[in-house]
Amino acid sequence: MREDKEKIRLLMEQVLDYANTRGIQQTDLLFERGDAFSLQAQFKKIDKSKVSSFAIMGIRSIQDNKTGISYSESLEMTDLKQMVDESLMNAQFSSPDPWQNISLKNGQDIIGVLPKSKSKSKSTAVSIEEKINLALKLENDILRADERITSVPYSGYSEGESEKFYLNHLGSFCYQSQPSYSCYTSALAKEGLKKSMYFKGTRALSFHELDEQFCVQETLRHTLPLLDGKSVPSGSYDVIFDTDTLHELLGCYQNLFSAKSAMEAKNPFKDRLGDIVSSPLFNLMDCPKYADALYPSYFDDEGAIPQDVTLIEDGVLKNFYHNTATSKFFKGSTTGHATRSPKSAMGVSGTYWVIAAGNSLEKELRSGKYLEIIDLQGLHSGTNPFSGHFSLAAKGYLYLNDKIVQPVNNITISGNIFDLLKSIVGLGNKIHLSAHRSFFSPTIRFASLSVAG
Amino acid sequence: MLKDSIAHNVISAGLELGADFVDLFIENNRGSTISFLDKKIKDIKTGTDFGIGIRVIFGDQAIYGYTNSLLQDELVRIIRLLCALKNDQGQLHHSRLSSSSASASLNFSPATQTPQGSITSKTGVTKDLFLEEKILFLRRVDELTREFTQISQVDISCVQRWQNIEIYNSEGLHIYDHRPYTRIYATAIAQDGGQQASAFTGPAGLCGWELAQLHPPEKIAKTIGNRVMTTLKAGLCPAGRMPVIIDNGFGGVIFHEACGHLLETTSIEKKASVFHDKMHQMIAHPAVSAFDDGTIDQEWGSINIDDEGMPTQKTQLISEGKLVGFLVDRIGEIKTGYQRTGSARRQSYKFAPASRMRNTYIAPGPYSLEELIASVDEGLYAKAMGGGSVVPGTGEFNFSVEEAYLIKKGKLGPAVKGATLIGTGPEVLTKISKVGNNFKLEPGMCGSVSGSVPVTVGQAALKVDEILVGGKAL
Repeated sequence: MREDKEKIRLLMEQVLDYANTRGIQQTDLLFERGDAFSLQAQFKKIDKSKVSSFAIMGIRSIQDNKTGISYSESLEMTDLKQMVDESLMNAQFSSPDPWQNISLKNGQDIIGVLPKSKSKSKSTAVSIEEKINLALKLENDILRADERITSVPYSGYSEGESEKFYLNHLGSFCYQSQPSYSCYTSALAKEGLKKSMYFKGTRALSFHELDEQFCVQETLRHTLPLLDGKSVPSGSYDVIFDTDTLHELLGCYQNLFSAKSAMEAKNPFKDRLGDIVSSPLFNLMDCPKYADALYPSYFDDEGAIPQDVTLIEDGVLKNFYHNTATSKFFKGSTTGHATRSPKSAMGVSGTYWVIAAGNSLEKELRSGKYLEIIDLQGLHSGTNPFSGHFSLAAKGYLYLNDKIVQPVNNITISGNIFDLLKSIVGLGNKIHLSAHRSFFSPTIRFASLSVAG
Repeated sequence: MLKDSIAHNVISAGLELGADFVDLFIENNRGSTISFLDKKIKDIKTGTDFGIGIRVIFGDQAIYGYTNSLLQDELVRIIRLLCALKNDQGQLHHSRLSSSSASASLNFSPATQTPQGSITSKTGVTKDLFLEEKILFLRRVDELTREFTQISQVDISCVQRWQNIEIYNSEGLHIYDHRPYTRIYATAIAQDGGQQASAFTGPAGLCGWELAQLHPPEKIAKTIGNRVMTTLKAGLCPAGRMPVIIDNGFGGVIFHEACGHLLETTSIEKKASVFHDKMHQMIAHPAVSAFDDGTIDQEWGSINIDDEGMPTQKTQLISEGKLVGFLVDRIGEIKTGYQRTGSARRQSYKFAPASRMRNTYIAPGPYSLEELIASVDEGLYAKAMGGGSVVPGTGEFNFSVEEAYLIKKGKLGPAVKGATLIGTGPEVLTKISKVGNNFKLEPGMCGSVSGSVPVTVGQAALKVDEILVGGKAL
């Protein structure tokens, strides 16, 4: 936490004072700033470095039930006043929105700083040489592992600290600071005309907690076998996604649990609360303070404290995540999932998804013939959040009774998220963490997905 | 935006600390977005991004930083920090200029606006409108789209931004440019019982609100209305290898993903592109000639100067199947020896520039769309494409098809949905056997190492003799 935190709060109070003089009825401010540093290794030397700092303030003004948004990257008072004036003008042209209010009045400030027990060491104790050596080691460990590896296209280290401040016209103030340390590597392997590439990254709360060998080992574990990857005959296959890949796929359908999306008639689940939407084996929660998550979520972007939300219970759609506007529309309470950046309008989003463990042993799930998918490409374009369809390039392994029959690439998997959620054969009895500690799921086996090879 | 004297002092500080090259990228980006949803204004947002990117190059190594501050002390502090970082790396290329000779060359010419024949000056002052008029436009799109049956929601927005950039470098360059960007986003959602479908269009240009004259509400509503109704009723796409006719416009994403990214020196310099050692070799079918052209009037991917201050160019990439050009930025030139092509681009001051595509297209050929379709016995006609991505090292690409029809015995059959095309760049380039004559460009956003930048892709309809189609019907 920087020493000038109080100065920022004072500046925000001055901006709100000005908004008050302009007669704006409801206002809140989000201020974000951060520092970052990154290194990329290439051909056994540091190829690129980046040092950055940023600061941005955004305002949401509500006047006569109309909302206006504006932001500024300049913290000069003249520019901040212009930001206030623009938000007021934007509000005047907006349509009335009876649901959106700035109404949270917290009794005391919310300060979210990681306890020292979670953040074991400070970046300042780590020399630049150690960081450079880490980036170089990541590349070197990959290159020396196998002569078929011809290059390491992406390998590096980054760190940063970001701070978020929230203040509204009712005096609710929230502050949080988050350190971030990450490293990543990749391998490009060639053998004759065959090529294979794989990438892995990880995050931690301090430099010394970074597990660079996880990145190295995972990269090597898949790059080399996939050199011999080939397609499988087109047909229906049972499928297990690795944890990161399942996170990426399900993450494309976050809108299914968005109350805002439901309110705007863009969510296919909008009228399905209480309906069976998945296998009864499937239980999904959003847990903002999940113990294994890298960072807890201390407050949302309108100053509310995030709550655990049961999204699907025994296959039944139980709830959406809400902000104050959507909860008012649906006659409920906010779940503390309001989200916006200083530049954007108010929305909702999830934090950490946790899929409950099932009763199946791993070996039961991995019996018979199935595909394990370890990489999906084209997620941004090959998934449709409205129809639920997906059709994606995939890589992985064909298994028979938990033994690899062949590495697989040059295939597509196609389906529909609604069908996929209902096609669960079983869930493992142990929860796995994603590499970034932001998604938690047991092994899940899905039945009969269409594969083209 | 930045005083010459401050720019001089900051660059001098970098040179005195041993940098071979220093440049400053100053950006003021003013943006405005109006969103229209559920038959009313959803929100209106405005704001200003401002910052300065500072790059120092030692040999072939680039160190980059940025700040929101205009103050000389802060800028000098950052450049010293960047240069100190180099000193800690301890393993640098030593062919740099001496600091004294570099400083001697630091004599900024008077600020230059964009080169002669600048894109924005060709069309006069770009047009802006009052909010009320834009709101009327969006309301009209909404009304016309809802005339299609089964439309459950219409989500539209217009985004305008005015990017002012100024670049100084240690070779004495001082140049500035003004880039007006306008884009209209329109999505229709249709529902039939439990089935939902969506369709999107996003016309855009390096221009002002005159974009709306080229894309009036009637045209936008018809595009998304027809497409969403077709998709809603479409059957499942069959899977397997088959010939595909990819229509014009955004169909060009196949070249963008399958080849364009692999010709950027960002990949070439790392030998992370399958084409890094293929210059002057045949990499495509002789029917294929391809360009990346930053100079086209008002196109979304056009620029007057690139983000290193170099006038942009039209760059031929492939000539009748032979690889003849890469897309090259300054670092790419240093590392590969190929000359810069005015292709250095970045999303904002928060990103170091990198070689990127602009308006990338396959040149038209002789065939009509009907002739191409008639040449297929059994296959797929991909009328409208979605986005895609590529792994440069292996050349593996994928892209989705938004609107497609089966072809049987040379004639169009029923609509199908949920198709994806995958393959590798080297493979698919040799299988483009016929190129049509209905050339068209369409805009999109391209994400890569230097952020998300506006690009257009383009082609006339073309025939791929065989490609793997992913679909749910087996």
